[in-house]
Amino acid sequence: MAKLEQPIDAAQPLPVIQVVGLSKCFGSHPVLTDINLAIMPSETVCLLGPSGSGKSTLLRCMNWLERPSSGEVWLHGTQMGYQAGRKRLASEAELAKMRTRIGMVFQQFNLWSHLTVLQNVIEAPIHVQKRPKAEVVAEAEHLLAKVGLHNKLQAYPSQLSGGQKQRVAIARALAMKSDVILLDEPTSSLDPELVGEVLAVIQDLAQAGMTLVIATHEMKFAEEVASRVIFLDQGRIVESSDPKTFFAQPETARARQFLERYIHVGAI
Amino acid sequence: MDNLPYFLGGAAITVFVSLIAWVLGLPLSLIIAIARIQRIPIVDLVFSLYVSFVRSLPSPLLVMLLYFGLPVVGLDLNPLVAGIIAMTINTSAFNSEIWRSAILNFPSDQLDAARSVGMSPNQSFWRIAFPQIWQANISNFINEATFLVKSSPAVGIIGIDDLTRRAGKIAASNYEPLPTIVLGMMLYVVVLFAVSLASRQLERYFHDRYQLV
Ligand SMILES: Nc1ncnc2c1ncn2[C@@H]1O[C@H](COP(=O)(O)OP(=O)(O)O)[C@@H](O)[C@H]1O
Ligand SMILES: [Mg+2]
Repeated sequence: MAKLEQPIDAAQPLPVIQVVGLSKCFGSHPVLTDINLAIMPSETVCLLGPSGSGKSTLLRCMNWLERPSSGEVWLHGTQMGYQAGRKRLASEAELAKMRTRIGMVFQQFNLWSHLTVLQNVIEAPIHVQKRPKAEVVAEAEHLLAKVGLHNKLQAYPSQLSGGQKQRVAIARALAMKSDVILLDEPTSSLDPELVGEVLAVIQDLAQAGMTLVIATHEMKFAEEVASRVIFLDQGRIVESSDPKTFFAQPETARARQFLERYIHVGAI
Repeated sequence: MDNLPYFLGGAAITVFVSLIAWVLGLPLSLIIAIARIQRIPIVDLVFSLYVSFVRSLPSPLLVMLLYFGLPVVGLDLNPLVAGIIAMTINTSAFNSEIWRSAILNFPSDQLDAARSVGMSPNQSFWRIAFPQIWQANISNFINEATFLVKSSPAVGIIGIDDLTRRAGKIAASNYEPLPTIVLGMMLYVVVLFAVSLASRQLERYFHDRYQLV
């Protein structure tokens, strides 16, 4: 049953995203269990955990691409998926409107292949947010220049490298001017030599104060850029701490095991 | 060859009937495909029966069914309209299967991205999926148009003077059946060649434009 009020801590600023008691099952298979977390403005939260631990599902529950089985997601004081102040489920149109406030970047980029780079970026601001085209185009060109793609505006996705595609996807998310961007393993399907260029863009965003939630296996990046690390294992939050503490002295055996694998692999 | 204008007139009728049926059949088949994918309870069942029924029926029978059947329910159609409706129904059943599998196989990751930026289901279909499906299947739809041209002589059965029917008439009257029929055939070949040429041009255009794989 959905509550009507967000459980707010009066001593803290309002979280951008607050997840309360969230669980998700696929059929009878529990994938997330009793997740509680709050993402504060300008935080960069890295979501770590072995593959299959539920990172993608958690991100997809935050913007209701997956509907949580139970629990709540609050976005700046409004509850995702429900009509304002009521217990009734939001319509698809209302849900769509809420999603404009949460940007998302996918592991496989998910660019629209019939649209050029520029068209990918301006599509939603113009046709979803109904903002004036001239203004949107100018902003999009600026964003694409910032991610180093000013000379690819008219290219189609199939003409780009993976790193370029992902930078377009990031620009597309930024163009919505949403409150927060969720990134689901943004560099996991890139060739190793292209990872750096994408991480650099994300790091710039973090430094500029954008609120970010990033599922990643890039431990070095997480250690340097995260303001907080959340470690997920078998669908539960096992640790949530600052990166220094997490990487130097993980509290749990599960986290230690997880980190050791990366040391052995040499990924750090 | 004083009959040439008469032949060309028949070819024009063949092209006209086929073209109108193709143009009307495309949106109709899309509606059928969408209704079936959405699994709207009774509508889905009706359309799935419609598709199997029409696909298994020889075109001439479908033409006769409409021309002689509809007056029974109070709809008196002139032969040309009845013929075009029959051919439209015919092609819609085939095209709906093309739409259906293209829609079901459309990459869900692109739709995820559309939902994530706040597109409604309608917007993500019309702005993201539909243009790509249309471009990727244009040659299938045109291929279907060639079948349509080849089954269009079915309308001759209710007296529409298409190319095949005119060729038959002349062949029966001028005692030179072979040259007459060869001429008729050549006109079909010209029409179908034009259709497949258009198909290849469109395909190349979309391929170059979007670098689709
Ligand atoms: N749509 C789905 N249907 C059924 N099971 C799913 C679905 N999506 C994810 N899962 C399962 O949920 C678990 C967590 O998956 P996921 O969130 O993708 O983990 P991660 O992103 O951490 O690798 C896995 O066991 C996966 O098989
Ligand atoms: Mg994942």
